[in-house]
Amino acid sequence: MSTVLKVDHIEKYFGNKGNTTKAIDQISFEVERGEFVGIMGPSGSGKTTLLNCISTIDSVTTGKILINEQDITKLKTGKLDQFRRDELGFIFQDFNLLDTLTAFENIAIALTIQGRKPADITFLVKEVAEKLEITQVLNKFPYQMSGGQKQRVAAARAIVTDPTLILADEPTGALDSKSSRLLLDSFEKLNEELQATILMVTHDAFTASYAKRILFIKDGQIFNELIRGKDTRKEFFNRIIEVVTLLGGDTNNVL
Amino acid sequence: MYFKLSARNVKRSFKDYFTYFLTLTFAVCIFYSFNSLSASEVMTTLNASQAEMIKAFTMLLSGVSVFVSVVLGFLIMYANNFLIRRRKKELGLYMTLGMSKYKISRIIVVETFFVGIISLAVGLLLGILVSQGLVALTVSMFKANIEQFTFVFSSEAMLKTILYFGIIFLMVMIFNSVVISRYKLIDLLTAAKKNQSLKIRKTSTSIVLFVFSIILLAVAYAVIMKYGLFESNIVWTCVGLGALGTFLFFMSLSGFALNMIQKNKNVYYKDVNMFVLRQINSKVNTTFISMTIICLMLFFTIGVFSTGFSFKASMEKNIEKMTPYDASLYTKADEDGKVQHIHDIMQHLKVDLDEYGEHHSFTVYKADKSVKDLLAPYEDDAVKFADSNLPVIKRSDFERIEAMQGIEPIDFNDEEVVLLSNFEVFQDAFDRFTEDHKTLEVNGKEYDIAHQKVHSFAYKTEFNSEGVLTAVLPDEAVEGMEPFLSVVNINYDDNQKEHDETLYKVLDESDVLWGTTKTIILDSSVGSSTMIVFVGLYLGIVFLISSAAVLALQQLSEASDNIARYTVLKKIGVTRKGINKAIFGQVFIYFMMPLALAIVHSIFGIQVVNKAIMVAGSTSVLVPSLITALIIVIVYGGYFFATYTGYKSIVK
Repeated sequence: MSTVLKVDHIEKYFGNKGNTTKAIDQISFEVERGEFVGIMGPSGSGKTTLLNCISTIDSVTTGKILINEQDITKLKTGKLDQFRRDELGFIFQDFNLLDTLTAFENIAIALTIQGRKPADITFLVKEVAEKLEITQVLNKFPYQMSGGQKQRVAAARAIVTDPTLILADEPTGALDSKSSRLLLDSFEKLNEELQATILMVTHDAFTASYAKRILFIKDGQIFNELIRGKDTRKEFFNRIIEVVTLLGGDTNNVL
Repeated sequence: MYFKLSARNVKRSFKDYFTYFLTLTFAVCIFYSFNSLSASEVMTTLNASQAEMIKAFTMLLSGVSVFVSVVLGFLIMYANNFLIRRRKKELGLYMTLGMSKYKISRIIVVETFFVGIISLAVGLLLGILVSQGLVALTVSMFKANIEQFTFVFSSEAMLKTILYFGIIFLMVMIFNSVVISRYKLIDLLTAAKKNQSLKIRKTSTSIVLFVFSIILLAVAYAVIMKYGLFESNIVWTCVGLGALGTFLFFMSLSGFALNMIQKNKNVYYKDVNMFVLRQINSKVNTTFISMTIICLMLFFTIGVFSTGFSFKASMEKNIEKMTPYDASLYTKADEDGKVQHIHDIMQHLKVDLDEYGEHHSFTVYKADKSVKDLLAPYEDDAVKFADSNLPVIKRSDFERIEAMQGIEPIDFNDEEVVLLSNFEVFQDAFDRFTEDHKTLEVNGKEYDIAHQKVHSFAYKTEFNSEGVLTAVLPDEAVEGMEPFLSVVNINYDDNQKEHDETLYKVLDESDVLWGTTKTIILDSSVGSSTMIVFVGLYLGIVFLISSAAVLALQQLSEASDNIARYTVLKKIGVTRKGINKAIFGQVFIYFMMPLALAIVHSIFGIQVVNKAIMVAGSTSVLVPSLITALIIVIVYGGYFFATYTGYKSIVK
């Protein structure tokens, strides 16, 4: 297995001289191809900052981030956009679908900006829609879809370009429990059947229990790491809850 | 404290205010410069006989100014409404902090005041500059010369501008306060999140409507091209059809175009074309009414700008034809049907015609036929103009006044009748008439119509020709005909001004003497044609700025709604260049849609006007059209560029 993501001693400071906040403090970890990694932590722990740095939306203060052995901290702005377009797939909490486009077009736009051929686009979109079971909503507009459908369309958009790494930021944050389960099932399927590499940020223990490995972050540092191994999801879930309690008991977020 | 807040707000949101400010400044500038015309000193030192014209001009301009101020008032309200909407969240924040609606209103009022004062000052300064050029243009159009440059400033126009715009600003302030008092806090805070519901029209409906609108426009174009501008009923029908066609065109255009482009996968699936098209589609579905109005306003502007000057030139050329003699005096038949000879009247008034220069007097007789009966089958409007019997002039008199005009004599024999008219508008009807009639029967005798046409000729200098059609018959043929007018035509030797003045006095004194001089007609027609051109220009500029400003504001208000959409694009990896391209495409298409159709309208409109002008004497519309294009590129293009830049900075 090859390393897809290598985070090497990164730090991120906010604020100016004399008054700095360390959002990320010496974090290092690696993600292998085909892994499904969850990042957990209470609000303010730095998990979103970490994701922003990995997704090239934000830049690190020190340290290196290598995606596919390419150091993204050294890329120029123009290259960064290109890199984001070709190597990364995003899934956001509030879906971020374009409300003026149909589901089909929302997925297709990820391909059109890569300059793919129209014939390929139609084929790829239909293929990914089948996998995520959204074929019947392809001609609908986002306002005609349910939350779960919207998020699956967003997931389809993220993976249709066959990115190196899929980044998901609280993907179930705006979904009810049934839709969450459906979405996470698709994630699992994508991970297992298509070997998609997924890095998911969440503070919800149930959502996290779908991952294969979980990194816990507190005050900008890696606090703990859990590996699912041969556990059932139920057992894994209980182990997550234990760590969460240890972390400072955000029991509100325990399902 | 509130004052400080307002001042800082204006400074901070300068970008938002820029379009508003620009529009206000333009509005003030135009309003001042056109109003300063009527009051300007230079205008009143023009020719004395133009004084009446200037008075009418002033009246007309102030009337139009009221209309313009209403248009500008609405525009300013619209712009202001856009600003308030953009700041909903900020106002909501003030309210959550515990500021009362009254105090918020006060902040907004002070802001409106600031912007109003600044734009009024800048606009007036600009207006004073522009009015220098405008006055020079007007004076040259009135065919007067100013030897030296005089600085023009009209305090009257300035006060008027301040008053009118003061009222507009006051209304804006009241409007704002009312709007704010109606806002609910929850709406203010969640304004940004509110999704506008998309109106999607069925594709099939769009296609049917689009085809229908094209048919309507084609019919309107075809009919107006065929019948020209002289049949007012047809013209208005065409305008109505065209307006309806335009309306349906914009209602269905985006749906139709989207459908067509979707079929071409290579275009639709290229870069973010899909996104841009959907953006426009979602917006145009709700803005087609304003699109229609903007398109028609632009059409008006282009039409007036490119034909106005040539229209004026041709009108004046026509006037030259109507005034072949320096002066014409005449007397009409009294109740008994008797006509005093013009010589006797002049002698009675102690005017020696020999002192004036070359002159010839003659009698005009009445034939037994009415002009109306002759022309009615060929021209509906004949009834309105030709209500008298056919006037007849003796051949010998005709040859004398032909000589006075110094034109090539019309050749004809004693069996023929020469038909004369200076009523250019009826040229087509005359052609149809002479095609049907080879001969004309007058008082029981049949004459061949000389040269089978109606000759363009005026037997006296007059605002409108008497009787539309005049016949020239052999001298003996008039025997037994009732005399109708006794006319003298005069060509001055020199001293035009002096002779004019004495003739005016004579005309004033006598109650049986009628007539006019070439000078009067020229002055008044130059005045009225100038008036038409100026009102056209005034409205044209106001319409142009209004259209551009409305488009700009619509796009900018959309920009803030679109921040989220562009953020998504950025997140999924569209480069900055790609985003700028998408914005450019969107704004460009949005600005071009009404302009493109307006240009198509204008191509037909200008041709029709040109045809009408050709009748009177051809003039080119090429140069005015180029100037129009330049003006549109500057004003419209300026707004386009400002919008594009503003949009980019909002989305950034």
